[in-house]
Amino acid sequence: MEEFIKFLKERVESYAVLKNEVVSTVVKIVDSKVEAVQRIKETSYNVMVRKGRRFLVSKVYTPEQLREGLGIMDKLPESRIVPKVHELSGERRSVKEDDGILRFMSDTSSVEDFLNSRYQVHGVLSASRFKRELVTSAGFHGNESRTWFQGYMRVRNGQYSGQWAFSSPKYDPEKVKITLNKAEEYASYTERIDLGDGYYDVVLSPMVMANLMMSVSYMASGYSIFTGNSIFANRKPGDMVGSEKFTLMDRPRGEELNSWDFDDEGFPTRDKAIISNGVYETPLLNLEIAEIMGKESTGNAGWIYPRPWTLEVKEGEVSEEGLLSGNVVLLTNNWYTRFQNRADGQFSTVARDAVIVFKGGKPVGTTSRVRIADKLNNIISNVEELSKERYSIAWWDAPLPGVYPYTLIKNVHLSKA
Amino acid sequence: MLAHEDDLLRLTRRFPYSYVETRYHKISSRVISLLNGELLGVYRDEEAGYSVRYLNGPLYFVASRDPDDLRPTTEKHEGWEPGLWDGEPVSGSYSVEEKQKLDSQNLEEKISSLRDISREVLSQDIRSKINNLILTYSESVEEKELVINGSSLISGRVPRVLISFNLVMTGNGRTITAWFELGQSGGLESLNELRVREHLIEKVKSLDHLLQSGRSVSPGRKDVILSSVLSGIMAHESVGHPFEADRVLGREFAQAGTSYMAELGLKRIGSEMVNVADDPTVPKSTGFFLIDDEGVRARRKLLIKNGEPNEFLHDRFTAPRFNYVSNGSARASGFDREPLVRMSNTFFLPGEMSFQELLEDVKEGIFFKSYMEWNIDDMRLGQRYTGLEAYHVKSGEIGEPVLFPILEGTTNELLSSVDAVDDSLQFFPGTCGKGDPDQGIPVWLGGPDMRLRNVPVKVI
Repeated sequence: MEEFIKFLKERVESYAVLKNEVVSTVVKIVDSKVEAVQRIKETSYNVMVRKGRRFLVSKVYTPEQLREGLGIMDKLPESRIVPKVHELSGERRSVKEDDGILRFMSDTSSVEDFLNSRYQVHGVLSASRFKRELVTSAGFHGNESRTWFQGYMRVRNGQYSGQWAFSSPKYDPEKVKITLNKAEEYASYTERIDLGDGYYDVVLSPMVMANLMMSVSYMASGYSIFTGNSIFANRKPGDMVGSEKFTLMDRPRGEELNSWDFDDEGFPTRDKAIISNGVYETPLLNLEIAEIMGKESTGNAGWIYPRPWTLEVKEGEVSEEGLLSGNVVLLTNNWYTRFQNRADGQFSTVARDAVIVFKGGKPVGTTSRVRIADKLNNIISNVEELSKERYSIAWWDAPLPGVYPYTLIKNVHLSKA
Repeated sequence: MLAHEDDLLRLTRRFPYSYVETRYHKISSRVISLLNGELLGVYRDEEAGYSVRYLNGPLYFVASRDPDDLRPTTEKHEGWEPGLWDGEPVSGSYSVEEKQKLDSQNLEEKISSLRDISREVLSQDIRSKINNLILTYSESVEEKELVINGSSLISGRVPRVLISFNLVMTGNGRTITAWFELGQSGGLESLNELRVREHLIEKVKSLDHLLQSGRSVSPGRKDVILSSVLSGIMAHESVGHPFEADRVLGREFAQAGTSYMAELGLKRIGSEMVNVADDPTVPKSTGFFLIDDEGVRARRKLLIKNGEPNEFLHDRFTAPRFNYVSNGSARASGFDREPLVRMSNTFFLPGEMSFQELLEDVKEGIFFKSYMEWNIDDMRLGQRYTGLEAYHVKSGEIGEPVLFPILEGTTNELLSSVDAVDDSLQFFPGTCGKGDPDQGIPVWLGGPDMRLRNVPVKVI
């Protein structure tokens, strides 16, 4: 880092160097056996240099690799949007590491203890240590370190399956057990029934919420809004965009994974509601997009592209079971969310694993090959109720960590292939 | 002699196992992005490092930029892999030529060319409004060196050029958000060969026509013609993925999912007209390689032959479970990712009919030229395509655009409905995701225009 700073100080007035070091151990489980153990160390220096309205962003290993770019910077045209550095100096240091996670990183022999199931178990357990160091030309020098423990398990019961996931800042065997239990429970529903195209009252599990709320939050990025690729592009803060029962937070100051104290511009992060009781509160902003929109940064840089950190949907007042008391379809998992139109939120997402049909509060069977084909706006507007219980979820098709309840949504369009 | 041979051989000696791959892998890329003709940003990225994979019960994979970080681990697990196909790894090298070197133009010149294209597109005489055009140029060079079991030395170098554009257009009370990509391996000559300017202008005019003149479509069973854009994504997603042998065996069950070949054991997947290949040796392809990352020579694989399953994609670890040999399908996306069974360039084989002949026999139907959304269930059976540029076909003639028809059905249902394919073959680039940690890998998707009879069409 010192070499980078020395190199840059002599050449440009505005810069930021973000060093990321990630060390991960990833254990892959297939048919209840360990298929692969991966240990990966990734170190990178992400460097932003700016001269007036000209800038370059590089991911390099040595300062010398910046020389060519700096040599031609003056000849570049000016950019429409230019990353900024927050005018804040001083040192920040925050270390939140869990010894249990660090031990698991070097010795994964406890994995087999988690694979005791009546079904074949597939999945991943991973442990990581993240070190993040940011130095800016404003004199800011921040160091943060975190550990992550996360995993997901999918179990097979003949043609039926169930899947669940967890994320935790601490090594927590109980969360692994809950994950396996949830997957087993959903795989145990075995009657097949047919479900045609139509509108249904649907309960989305925290797994599905994790996937869909990731899309909502990236659409709340000021960049997505600025370029018109967002359901928020024609909305303004204060507009009613969802159900009064629906609150979506970005919470980087909590304990969940991907919680950090400062963003990539040296701006302090803060917890914020993107949508509060149905009201659109704020886009996610860095300094440069905030300037274009005439607002303050929300501490979500990303140079040029503001992004969410870690999400939370506010809990409701009923139990998981209470949400299933009527005639509803429970989607326990999904994947492949794709948008037909990002401006109006038209999308579809494919249900996976157990899709359980409840009639009069009783499960009457599971169905397959259905997808939600609706508008994201409808999903958040038709939230009827949420569960008291919430789960910390991050997994392969919903990598942005978050905490979510089960959510009952009225009149959701389902389509079957 | 490989540039990193000493490091790789030293690593090999450090891991005393019967099967050891060592790899140095570097990807250098540069991205230029313009918003409405104005520079949005210039990004440079380099990722380089070493990895070792070895079999000791489970597979073990270690990776770092610094080879001195890489050591065998001492823990013991009962592994899932029963063994591997131990065919002799080959030595050799492969590369793709840059007819016009990527560095033969400086950054200013590249930005200037892209700005000219943007401005020409934005100045088209159309009735709809282009709210935003984000034009992104990406050039990359992937270099890898491998030593397999201390004896086989392999090197590969593939430069690639990709152009993507995101369009937000409004007109006639409608808004479209669309995204397209063009790309191939090679040098700067790719920009002309891919006809970027012409393609973009044609696309803007076509979307304008759609916004202004698009008519709703009635749902029901119809004849459908899929362009190579749609046959390409279908070849990759509905055939290529379920023919990955590791997926059939359940290795991806918790991630990218399973396969109808495992769950249903289908003996016939499509009509006699359906032939699907995966071929890493296609010149200029983004999925090009000649030796895979396990030291096995690459070749064309015919996945479906005349509608019936013919061959899976294999690596050294899946092949013996099928009493087969590896067909050279192992690839890793970067130094920090394990090799997996991957597609390369996957496509429906063309036939002999012309596009006109394909049309002539359609009394009432829809031509899907491009799509704006696609997804599939994790068995690779139930899929859905929402048309973007789509046209009414009546009495063998392409008519007015129709608004957002949806083709939704199962793989075997749709492929059994194919009664003709034309003699064209076009490819489009894609990034294929798989594995954990996730690895996106460059591929081509392609095919001819394809006619499907009496298939279900829905509407939004």
